[in-house]
Amino acid sequence: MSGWMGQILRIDLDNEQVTVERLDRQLAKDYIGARGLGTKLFYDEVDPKVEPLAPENKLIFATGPLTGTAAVSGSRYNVVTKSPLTGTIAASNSGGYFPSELKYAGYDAIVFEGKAEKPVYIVIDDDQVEIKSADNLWGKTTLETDNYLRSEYSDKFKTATIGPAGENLVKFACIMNDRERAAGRSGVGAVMGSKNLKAVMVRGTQGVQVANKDKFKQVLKKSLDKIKESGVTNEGLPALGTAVLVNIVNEHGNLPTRNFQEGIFKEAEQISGESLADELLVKNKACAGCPIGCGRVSLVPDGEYEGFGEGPEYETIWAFGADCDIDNLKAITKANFICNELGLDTITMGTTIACAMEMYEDGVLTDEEIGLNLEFGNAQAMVEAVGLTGKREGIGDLLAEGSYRLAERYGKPEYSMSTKKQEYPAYDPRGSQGMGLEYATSNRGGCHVRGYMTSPEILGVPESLDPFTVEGKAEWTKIFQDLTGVVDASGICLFTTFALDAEDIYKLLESVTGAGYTEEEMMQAGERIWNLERVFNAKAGIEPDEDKLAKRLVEKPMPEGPAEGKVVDLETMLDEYYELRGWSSNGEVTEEKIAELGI
Amino acid sequence: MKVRLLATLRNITDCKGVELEAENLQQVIDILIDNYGKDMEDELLEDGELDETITILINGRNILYLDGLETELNSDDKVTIFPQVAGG
Ligand code: SF4
Repeated sequence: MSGWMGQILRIDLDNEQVTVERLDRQLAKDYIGARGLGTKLFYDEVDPKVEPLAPENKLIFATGPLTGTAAVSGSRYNVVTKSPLTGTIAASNSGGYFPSELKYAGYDAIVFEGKAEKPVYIVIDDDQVEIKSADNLWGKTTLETDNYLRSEYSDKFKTATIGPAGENLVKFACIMNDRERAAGRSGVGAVMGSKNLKAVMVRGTQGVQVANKDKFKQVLKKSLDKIKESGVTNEGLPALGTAVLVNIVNEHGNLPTRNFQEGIFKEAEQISGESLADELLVKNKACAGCPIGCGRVSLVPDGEYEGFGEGPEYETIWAFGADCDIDNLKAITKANFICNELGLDTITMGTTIACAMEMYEDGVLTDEEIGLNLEFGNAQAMVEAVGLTGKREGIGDLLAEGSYRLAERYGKPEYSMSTKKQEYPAYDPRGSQGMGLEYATSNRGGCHVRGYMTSPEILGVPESLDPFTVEGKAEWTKIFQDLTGVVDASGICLFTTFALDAEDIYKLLESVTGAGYTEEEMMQAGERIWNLERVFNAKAGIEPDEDKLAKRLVEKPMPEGPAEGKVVDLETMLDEYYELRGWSSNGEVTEEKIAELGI
Repeated sequence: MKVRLLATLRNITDCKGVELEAENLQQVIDILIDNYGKDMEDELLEDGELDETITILINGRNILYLDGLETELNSDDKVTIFPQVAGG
């Protein structure tokens, strides 16, 4: 096979059994790989009603056909499982070097099943696979674990590991690979922890076959040229990272502040990408084969927030910054470093603290109860809360459940800024209507990387749409969601789409795999992935009436700024969206659609 | 009025923004180019027209949804200018 390695590694942790299976060619073509392939394997094997932290849940690491090739930013894998945070399908995407190495070892995917009796880690050295005791690693941070494993074996191994948060089943624990790249959202790290699986290390010596080398060279050159010509991928992201958005989203009045009570953070400049570059940035960092290099390496040289590591990204800066009313970039960066070490998703962590801060402000949470002064703006308390959460100590045990369960426990779920129990990222949809539709319909709950409507609504890429109107937004959202499915499944980074279009991605995919795709078939694969996720969710009991937004966003007008007076007109967009998707008028995937897509 | 410059435009100005007096956006652009020279001109214009990768906001609203370069300016308006960027 070209592009795909043709093998799936299955690791049964109950019986310590390792088997290798052949990848079905048609299945690979229909679901491409990574998010698509992982979801299909999961759907076929796991009861949708499974308890996410039970041994019967499975955990799948899946790469795409472009992962590990020279295709621009072909560095990604997806972790697919049932989420303990949302109860939906979870597919968390990460780059770095581990995903490519997994391909070089000969595998498109690993399926982990069951639960090890005691903590273990897995060593994959091409076709040699060993399950080893991780007794001495349990309790260690992600960085300590990576240090230990690579010193015991060889620096040539790449690692993916959980930290204490995953071990402690924090509902939004992540899996860190290559030290500080995160499969961040939806609690995939807690599922890994529930299996007593501390880490996976991999080394491989094989190459990825390319079906049509001449054609691939041509399309690769064109793609690289486009990335070099685009101001976004050639200048903005390398110079300022994703945090370039802090000032821009704030100027639009869409930077959620104080748990989405406001849309303008007056101190945004102090936590902006520009300030980060001036004050803390040491260098950029890129994932395998990526000419963009959006990653940040930062240093806080001294003081109470001293630290060194990767980050912070835009979403992280916002979650610990504006959303918590904190303007101290060093404290935000420290919170990021702690999340990386303990293995926590920074978005849900920051927004859960913001939720707790609002509950504290309103007297729902009290000092005696939580033992911390969680006033908005208290940077020290915020940093302390992060550490407590990873260890589930004190108030951290409540925060570890995410904002929805925290707020619901006090009978006030409306404090949680989430859909399907997953917290929203850094865009207030009252000033970006299409983003509201994306949040409401994303198959993994509140999320920006399923159909990034901020791109046309705020950034004017690939063209500008009025952020305040709803006309045409359903169609754009559907196209973005389906194309994102393709990109995620192919194994390249979503950021390439700021410079590349569907045709470029099609040519990369077809020249590498030689699978005989047409561009329409490729887009249909994206639609198939989207619908399969939706069907899984329905069987898991997540009904279409969960396609909703936090009350605040649909009922409470934005108090000030450019979007003053606006709420999200979700209903209008949702009706149109269901129709465009070919679903029933109340949002159910129809039998006809299932048949049409061959699910 | 306040003109805020964001992202890589600051590499040219070495500051976050400027205060200036102008009646319309064309004047704002002319003043910026006068002050910061060819580098600013290269960023803002393409064949003498506003480069389509440049976004201009007046009080947070994209001028594409106001009257474009013709949009009237008041002295207490805030103008924001930035090149095409993305993140997420
Ligand atoms: S754009 Fe950034 S996240 Fe994407 S592959 Fe490149 S460095 Fe990694």
